[in-house]
Amino acid sequence: MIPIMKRSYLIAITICALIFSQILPAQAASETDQAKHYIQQLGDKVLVVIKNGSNDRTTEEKLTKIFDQEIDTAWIGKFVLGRYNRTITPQQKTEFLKLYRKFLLDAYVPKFKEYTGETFKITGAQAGQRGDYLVQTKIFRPQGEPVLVDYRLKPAGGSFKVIDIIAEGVSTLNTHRSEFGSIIASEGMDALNKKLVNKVIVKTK
Amino acid sequence: MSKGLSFTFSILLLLTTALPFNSFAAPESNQDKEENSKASITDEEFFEEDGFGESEEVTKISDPLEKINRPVYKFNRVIDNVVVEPVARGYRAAIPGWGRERVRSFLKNLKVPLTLFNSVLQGDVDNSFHSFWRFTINSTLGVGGLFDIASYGNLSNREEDFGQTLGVWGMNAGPYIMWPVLGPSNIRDSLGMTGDYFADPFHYTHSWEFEDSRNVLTVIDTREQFLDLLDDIDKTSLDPYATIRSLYIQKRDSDIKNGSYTLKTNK
Repeated sequence: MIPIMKRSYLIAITICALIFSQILPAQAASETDQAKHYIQQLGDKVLVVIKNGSNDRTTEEKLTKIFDQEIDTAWIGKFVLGRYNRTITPQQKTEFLKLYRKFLLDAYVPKFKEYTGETFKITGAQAGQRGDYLVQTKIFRPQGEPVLVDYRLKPAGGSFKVIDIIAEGVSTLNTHRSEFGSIIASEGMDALNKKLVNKVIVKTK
Repeated sequence: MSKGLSFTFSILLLLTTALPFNSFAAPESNQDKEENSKASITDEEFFEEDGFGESEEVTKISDPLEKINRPVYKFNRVIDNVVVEPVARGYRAAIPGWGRERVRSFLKNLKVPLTLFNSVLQGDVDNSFHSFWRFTINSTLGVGGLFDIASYGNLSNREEDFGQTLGVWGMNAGPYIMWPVLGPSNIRDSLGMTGDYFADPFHYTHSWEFEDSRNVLTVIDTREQFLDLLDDIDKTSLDPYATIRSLYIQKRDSDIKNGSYTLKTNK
């Protein structure tokens, strides 16, 4: 009698454990899994372009294309402007968004080109309060310690778009928002656009 | 037997009926609220807000001393351009990567006792044990810390300092401070630096010659590590002072949370 009771306890506990371990995470995981999958694919796509690049220019063109497809620079630009979205003129905003896209391209495409011996691993994903997702990755370099890079995603048309890159806890969105905000506050929006023009032109030379 | 079975069934029954109440009902009501707030808030409204729920230290930068900090920053950059950066570049050019890695490893090992001390103060059991064994293994098998043997055994640790400990204890960062020569800090980290200075065992066990050479090496090693980052900031930033300030505040915030950049989640 007693052993049987023990066994049924065991069965009950096992069933409990099975139900809790299977059903609950499965319900929460599906969307974050899609986010992980998206970053895995994106990473693989970028690595293929870099490894098969016949020359510098085509590699850069291909990376630019991926960048425009997968990174929502307009959304990022508006986030970075923050409360100034309301106070600047539409022309100032249009000009800023155009310049900011180029500014981001100049900042990131050369960095991606440097990736050669690196591999990356997805270490986790979370769903945020704002309908956003955070996918955490670790980049292993041939030399030195691995780097933690997180990607913030927002759902877009059945897939995702990247809206932030967070390296070692430092978010691009927050950095640019505070840097640009400080310029707008002290010198004005036109000054910011002018500074961006200078950066972008100097870089393209 | 029948008792056992009925017990099993009662558990199952409990599960099938109670589960929806316990685990679905509560989050659902939350989720409903989230859905509503998500639906009612437009992108335009969201852009006016502080962001994705990062701590206020990150989103509302406190820099009342900016008028003093900026000139100090300029002064620091002059010293950097004239002395520190050239030395760091020379160091990178003269010593091959393998050698530099030994130096870094050695210096990092010297910081582990402080990490251990602070991990204990933070109540971080894992990191305390990791630091203890790291220091023991690397100081002996790793030839005085020149080789990071412990990391092969997955004994990696995070560096913890007293500034982080104060943060874990709930102290606010306070205003941002740009110290002459020492660089970016805030009230909390300035206190932290002082605390670490006195808590460091090597401060008491070794000669001042040792301490001075260690400090000089640390400056060169750190600056060499930052060569690319600072070049990048100078190249891309529209306002390097503001960029460095933002990087410093975000990095320290993330260090206190032990590197996990967490979103405000539904749970």
